Amino acid sequence: MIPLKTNFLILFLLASIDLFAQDFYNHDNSFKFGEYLYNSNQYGLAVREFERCVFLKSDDRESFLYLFKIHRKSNSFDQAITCYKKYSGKLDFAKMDTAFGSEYFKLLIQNDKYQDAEYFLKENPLFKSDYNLRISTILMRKDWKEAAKFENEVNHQINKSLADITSQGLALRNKSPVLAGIFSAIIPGTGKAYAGRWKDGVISFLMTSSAAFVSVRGFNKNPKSFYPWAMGTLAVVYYSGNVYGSAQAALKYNKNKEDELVQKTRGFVLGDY
Amino acid sequence: MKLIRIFSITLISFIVFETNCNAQLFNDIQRVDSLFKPAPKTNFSAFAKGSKNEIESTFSTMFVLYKNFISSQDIDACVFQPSCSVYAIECIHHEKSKLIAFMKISDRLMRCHPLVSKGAYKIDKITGKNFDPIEN
Amino acid sequence: MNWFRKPVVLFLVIINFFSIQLTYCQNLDAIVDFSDQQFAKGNFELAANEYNRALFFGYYASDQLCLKIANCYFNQNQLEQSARFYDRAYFSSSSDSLKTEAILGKSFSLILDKKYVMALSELMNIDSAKINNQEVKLNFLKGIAYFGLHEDDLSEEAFRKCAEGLSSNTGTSEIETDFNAIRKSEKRYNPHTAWLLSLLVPGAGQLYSGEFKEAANSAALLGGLLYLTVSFAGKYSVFEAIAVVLPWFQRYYMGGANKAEKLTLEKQLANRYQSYQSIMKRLEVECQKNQMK
Repeated sequence: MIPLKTNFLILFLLASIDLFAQDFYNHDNSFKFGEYLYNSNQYGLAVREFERCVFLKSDDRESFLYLFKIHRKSNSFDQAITCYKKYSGKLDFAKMDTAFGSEYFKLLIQNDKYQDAEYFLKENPLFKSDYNLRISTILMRKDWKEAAKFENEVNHQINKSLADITSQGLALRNKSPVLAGIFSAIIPGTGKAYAGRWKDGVISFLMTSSAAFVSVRGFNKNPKSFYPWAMGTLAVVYYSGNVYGSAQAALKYNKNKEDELVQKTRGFVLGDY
Repeated sequence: MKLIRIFSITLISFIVFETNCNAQLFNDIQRVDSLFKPAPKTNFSAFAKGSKNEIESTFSTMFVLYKNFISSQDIDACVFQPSCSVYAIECIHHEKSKLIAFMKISDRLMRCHPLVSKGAYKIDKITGKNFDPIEN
Repeated sequence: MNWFRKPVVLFLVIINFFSIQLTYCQNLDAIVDFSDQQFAKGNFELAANEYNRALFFGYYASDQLCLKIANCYFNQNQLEQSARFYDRAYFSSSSDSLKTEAILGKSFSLILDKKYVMALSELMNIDSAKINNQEVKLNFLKGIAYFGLHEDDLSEEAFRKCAEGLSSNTGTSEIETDFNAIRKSEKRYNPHTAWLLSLLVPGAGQLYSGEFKEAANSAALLGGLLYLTVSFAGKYSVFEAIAVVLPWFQRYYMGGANKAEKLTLEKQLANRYQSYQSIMKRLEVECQKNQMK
């Protein structure tokens, strides 16, 4: 006869077999495995794993965060938003915590939704005092004056590189497209040179003037023939195209200069991409 | 007796392994079958589709004729991607005002010269030419 | 604590300990078996997921698992991932045959990615003394990589060895005829000759490469431009003709020569592709013959 104590011991030991037999598909193990997949860049598989975690435990913040991060990295905006809505019921800016918030902010920036990002930072109490992020959204909207005003409002408590970008933006000297057009209308090609494309200017001057020259020569020799008319039309087309192109070149010059600063700011915000 | 048995077993296992190997190679061959297939020729009439009016269809026809009979005999002179002719037909199809379209095209023709300075445009990775779509 | 000294209890504790180990292992084994099944069915994504799980929870043969995961990605055509896992399998393994298989897999991924030089440098790492069954595949991959680099002699040698490995005598000579066809086509369609011919007589180079339409096109275009030049010289002035029309003539004259050159190269490539397909077909037939045996 086995004593009672030993009986219990046997029961306990037998039960512990089941206890220790690890279930690889339970929530905790799935989560750990998902983390491993995430860290080894197998995002497609990691999504499946975290989806299961979320299914097993519907208030699992960490899994939701990972899912949100993966969707953000693959830049699938709608999926990320759906994921967050699943987590918290609705998209409430004010209640987003720091981890979700910074991912959401990056998502907005990646999708060029600068105004939404600015609104989000204003609404959320956790981000309201993050002046670096707030000024960067203004900079990405290319509103240099407002950025400078904001800098003064917060007593210059911002990162030096962002302050530099602000001052560079204020110092930008834009080329006037109207002026470029007028230049090119007076002497073909000069508008292009004004907009910083002097090689294009030289070529367009040569092409327009030679077409005009050949046309005039043709009219003097044989005004009834088709050829001088064709050349004349070509000269007019080149001339008008050059006026239009000069104005566009000026606009593009401005845009390039501004985009450079925007890219710098984006690099600052998205830093660890 | 024992020796014969060992020999036969190794022989059988060898054969089994060998056939497996070949089956795998068979699959591999399927995989690389079209590896060196020459790229198909670009079908330019695809660019000319979807003309909405007479002007567009006239230019589309001219474009296709130019691409097939004239441009095909040309040296590779255009420095842009998409090339000037494709740019032109896209302008005519997508630009609302035809006047703007013509001005854009003539501007583009004047910009297309071998003196283009570095950094003026983004470089297209596949063709190595200056990337300048009509949106620019 | 007297009862603890009893042999029965001790025995039970020991049994319990082993059974825990056993169930743990069984679970992982089941996972690997399940993924093997899924792999065989073609559900590569699921298989990759489960192999990864077994790997993460410490299945004893991590190198084999890495190789299997790599195969999953390879079959899904995710070549970068597969190359990464083949690498991992290579570095985590100590068995020579597995290492060889990992190298073969990695170089195959690189070949499908058209990185032939890298694939070859991987294949060079294989110690030929240590492989036995994988020699056919090694030569097969070498053949393709050399073929991609236009190293026809080396490619031929490799493909012939591959056919020999499939234990046939007919295959080798057939492969030789395929490569001879390539060499012949390279001699027949010489790009330099086509270029020169087109410079001498517009359209001749195109004729040489067997493209009659292109020849007619080029000749007609250049004829038209020449006529325009002459008529301009008569109607307006020689200056006009030289300044306005002649540049176009020159441009399309050179363009025609370049086109002829390009056409011969295209012909060569088309013939190469044909020969390549015929080689592949021959190897396929050899494989089938071998399986029938």
